Amino acid sequence: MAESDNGWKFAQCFGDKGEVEDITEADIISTVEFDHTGDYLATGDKGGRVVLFERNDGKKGCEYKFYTEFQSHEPEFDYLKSLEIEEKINKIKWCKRQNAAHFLLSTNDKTIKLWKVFEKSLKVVAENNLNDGARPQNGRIQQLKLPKLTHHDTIIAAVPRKVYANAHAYHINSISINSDGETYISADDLRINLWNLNISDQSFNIVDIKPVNMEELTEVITAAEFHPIHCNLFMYSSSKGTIKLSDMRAAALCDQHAKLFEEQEDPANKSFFSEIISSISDVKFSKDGKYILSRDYLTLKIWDITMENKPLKTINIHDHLRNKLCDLYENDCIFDKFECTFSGDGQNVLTGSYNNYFHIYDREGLTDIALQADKSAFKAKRVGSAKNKMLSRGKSNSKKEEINVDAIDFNKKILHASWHPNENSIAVAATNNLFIFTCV
Amino acid sequence: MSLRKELFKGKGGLGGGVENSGDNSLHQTASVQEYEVLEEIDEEKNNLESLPTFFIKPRRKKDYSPVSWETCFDICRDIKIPDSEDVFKAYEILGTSENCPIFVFHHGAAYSGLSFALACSYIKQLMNGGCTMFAYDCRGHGYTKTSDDSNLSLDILSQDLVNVLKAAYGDNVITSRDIFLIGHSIGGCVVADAASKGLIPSMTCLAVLDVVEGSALEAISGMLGFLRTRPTEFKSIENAIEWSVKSSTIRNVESSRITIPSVLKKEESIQTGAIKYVWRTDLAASRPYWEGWFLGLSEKFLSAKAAKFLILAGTDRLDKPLTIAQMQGKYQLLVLPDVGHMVQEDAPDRIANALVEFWKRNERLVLPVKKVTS
Repeated sequence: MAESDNGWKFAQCFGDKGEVEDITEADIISTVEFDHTGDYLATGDKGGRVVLFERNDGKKGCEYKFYTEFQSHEPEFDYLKSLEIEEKINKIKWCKRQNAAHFLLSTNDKTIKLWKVFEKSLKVVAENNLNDGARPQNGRIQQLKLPKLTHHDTIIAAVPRKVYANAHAYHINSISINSDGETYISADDLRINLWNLNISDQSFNIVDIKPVNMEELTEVITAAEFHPIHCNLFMYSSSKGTIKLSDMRAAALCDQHAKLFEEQEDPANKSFFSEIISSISDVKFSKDGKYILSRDYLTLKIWDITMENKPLKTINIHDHLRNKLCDLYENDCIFDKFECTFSGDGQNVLTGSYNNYFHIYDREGLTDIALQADKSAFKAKRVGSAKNKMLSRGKSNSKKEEINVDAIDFNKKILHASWHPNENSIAVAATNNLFIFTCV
Repeated sequence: MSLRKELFKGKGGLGGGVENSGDNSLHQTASVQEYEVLEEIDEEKNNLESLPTFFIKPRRKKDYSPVSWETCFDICRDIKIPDSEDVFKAYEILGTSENCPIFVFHHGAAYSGLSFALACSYIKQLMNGGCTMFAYDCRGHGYTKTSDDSNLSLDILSQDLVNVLKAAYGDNVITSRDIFLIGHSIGGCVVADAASKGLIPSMTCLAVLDVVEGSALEAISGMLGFLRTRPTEFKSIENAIEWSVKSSTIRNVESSRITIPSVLKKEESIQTGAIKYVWRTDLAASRPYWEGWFLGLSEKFLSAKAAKFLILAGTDRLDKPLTIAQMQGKYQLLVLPDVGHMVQEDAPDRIANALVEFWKRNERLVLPVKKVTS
């Protein structure tokens, strides 16, 4: 009987479960994304590879198996600036399925690619006349037969269909496909571009926050997403803790926002690090488009799209780090970009933390399920050990958790995760391993 | 450094000054990189059947496939020595003018002319057609076929060097065209020997790569043992390339992919039809010649009438005559850190830079003739 907590239990782990010291950097997973059906799961890694998993329908319950992998991006060198362009996949987004083939967008810092993944039937020539190389006994014409092409094997092929290059001077942090299925936006630190999926040599710039004089730069764009229903609305978050909702119908250049979501900071809490930790690392719409989820360094905020001045709920993820900000600034962990995600039904939210912990909260922020994507997860499953790695804290129960801040491993962080669109299963990236947890 | 981090840390954050890693992201302009939209690429990927769903290790596949000489050299030809049965395989990059200087490369034992492939391609970029590059497979190596592949004595190898050059470029090449002789390991012994005997009068520069008489002679006893630890055969060329990289014989995988195919020969077993690849050159059989190669190397090198350059991998030590001569400034010494014995393969770019710089500094100076009025 597996250890479970609030119904959540470990389902699978993909990857090399070795110690963190031995990890090949290229295997570190940098993005995870379910497709719109939840039957396919994509991961991208630092080595520029994309690995796809397919739901194993034969088995009851949540189980995925390897589907295919391909090298999406290669490391490049920018000769003009003498800079290396990393092949790390920053984001993968699936297109809505229209036929038997899958289409997905994958991007590194500079180039976005549209990949087509499909099953290909390999045919070989069979029924040759001289199959075994021997000469026929008597070469009678009636005995000759036409060689046939027969199905030999089915492979899964991945082909780049479009390459959207040379449009971003800064590092791309997000891509988001529009609900119209035809266009998508790509956002880098200072600009957002609008593309048509079918046109790879042109794109429209719709947001540009680059100051004329770069010395005056104070803020960068950290994430962007299209509204799931209204194809003219999109939002982007900034390093100053603001979320701007823009309407593309209003003007060609959407620098003026339609709505600005910003919570006024409590002056009492102001510190040197205030600005850094207010930087939003990820922002998402709920599936119904009525709520916005944003993640900054220490908290998750759930916003009602109709209320700009304050969020509906602020959830503290790891408030115990508030006193350690100085050390986290020294080791750069304060700049870690944690992703956040809504559940398919919008009732829960998910985000990661350190020591391979990740948290699932309900939308009211009343319950907190903390799970750990670690070796212990699957040891517990098999042994059914009493070592209770899964904690459950009710908000009313304000008993202080004995979290030994000094024992936290800041190298083990859950930055990327994805929630199945139709059920309570999640895929979580823990450095070079992919964990699947499920509640079904 | 990400732009966001630079915002806080880059501009005088908490005492963290600007980290100048050469990252000019604050002053970026759109790059003008050319990128062609790829045509349909057929990726024949094998579908991994029935992997256990619990744990899968996605492995990074490193490319160990062989690469053709064409990626580095322009021409590959067979040079037949007149009045003999010997045919030497040579790889060339021709310079723009007919009489431009020739850089002649002699490889080391058990390797081939392709050992210098990457280095030559870098030199080509640096010299921009200003010189011809000529690398050949010496007797008993690579694709060269001679009447006596086993006679690897130093005298024969030096004579081969002269014969090949004359057959390739005409008899007057050794007197009329400026020549820069570069030899790696045993090749260094050969070029030093040819130089000291004055076999190539028009030689102006001499470079020896990673061989020192004292250390080489001391290493002879360990050589046979080392040869026994090498695999004698490989299932495929890819395996051989993979072995050479993993055993750090050639640390640069790009170079190994070009070189290794030429040092192997295919053998087919008649009974089973199985194909295997073995070393082209039987190094152990050349044992009788080993001392002959190295004895007197330092003296020959120092007595050559040319500008002299010695390049060593970090680990080698100079012997006494070379140390004294170094102090006397008789030759230029360059020590490359972080390379193995195959210096020109491990660090082709650094070698190319060093050789071109040395050549430019020691080029024959043609002074304008001053007219003397009587």
